[in-house]
Amino acid sequence: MKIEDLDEPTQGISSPEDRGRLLAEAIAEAETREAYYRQPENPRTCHWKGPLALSLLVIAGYIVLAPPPWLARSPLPAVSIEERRRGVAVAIQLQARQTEVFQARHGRLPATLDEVPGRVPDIRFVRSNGRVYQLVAARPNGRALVYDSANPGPEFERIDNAWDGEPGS
Amino acid sequence: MLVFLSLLTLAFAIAFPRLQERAFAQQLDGAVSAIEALRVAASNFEEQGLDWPAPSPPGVTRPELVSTFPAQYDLAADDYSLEWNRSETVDRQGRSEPGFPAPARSVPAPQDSPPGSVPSLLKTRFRKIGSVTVYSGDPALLAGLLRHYGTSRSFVRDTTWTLVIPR
Repeated sequence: MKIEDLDEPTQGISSPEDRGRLLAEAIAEAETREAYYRQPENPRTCHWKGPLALSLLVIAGYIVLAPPPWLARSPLPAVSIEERRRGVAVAIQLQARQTEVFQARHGRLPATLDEVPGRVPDIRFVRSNGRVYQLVAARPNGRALVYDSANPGPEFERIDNAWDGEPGS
Repeated sequence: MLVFLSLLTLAFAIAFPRLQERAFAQQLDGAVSAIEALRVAASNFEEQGLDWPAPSPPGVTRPELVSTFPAQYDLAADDYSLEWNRSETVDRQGRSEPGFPAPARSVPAPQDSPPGSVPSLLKTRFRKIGSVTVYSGDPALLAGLLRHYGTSRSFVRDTTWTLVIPR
């Protein structure tokens, strides 16, 4: 259909020329707006963002997995095997003292540690006779540490405890 | 956006060790504060002419300590719990040989010689001691407490750390 085939415009309605002009103006306006809001296509922008992000992620992963010394946290404190071994000996010594208290107060050894007011857990009590007993606990390596009341042994003598001094010390 | 997220990840990776350090220091400080509060409360109770407070299970404050134990501390925290205990010890005077401490022999056993025929060789003195035990599955916390209080006053055994408080 051609524009000439259209009906004659009535009075007050624009002519085909007017409509053509208006359409051309609208198209020009739309093109202007599109040109104004269109982002400039800079191919270089896309090229550096990806590698930069990847590099940053690689560095972050490296820091997490193998941190350099100046970034690494100071190591957490740990209990050494010697300190754990000493802990077992001190626990046995505490139990021995309380067994001695019972012995001194009652004139006899307890039948079991349940009779002793202060019971240290995971220590086994073995009576040899009416006066001598052994206390047995597991060392950190699983082997038994034995306290013999008749001969405690050097492992218990070496322990320097703040509560072993004079009263008030 | 991708670069921003990567920068954020990098900043977190750099800051993470410091955040961990700070978190552990706060945890240790909290435990030490609670231990000190319990120790002071028990010592105040004992200095009033009373005995050490009676033992209490982990995480439970003894009724006699409720008035003196600061309310902002809790004996049961997320990663540890505190237990108060008391026990007695013997001061053994006059050890004969180093390495061979004599057991408490002030009271002769029934099968010994009749009382009176054997003089008491040792003067036995009883002393009550208090102790605070921390239960925790975190070995670093136990080690931190051991470093803080020293090995002459405290010891670690399994998942517990114990501070002994002489009278």
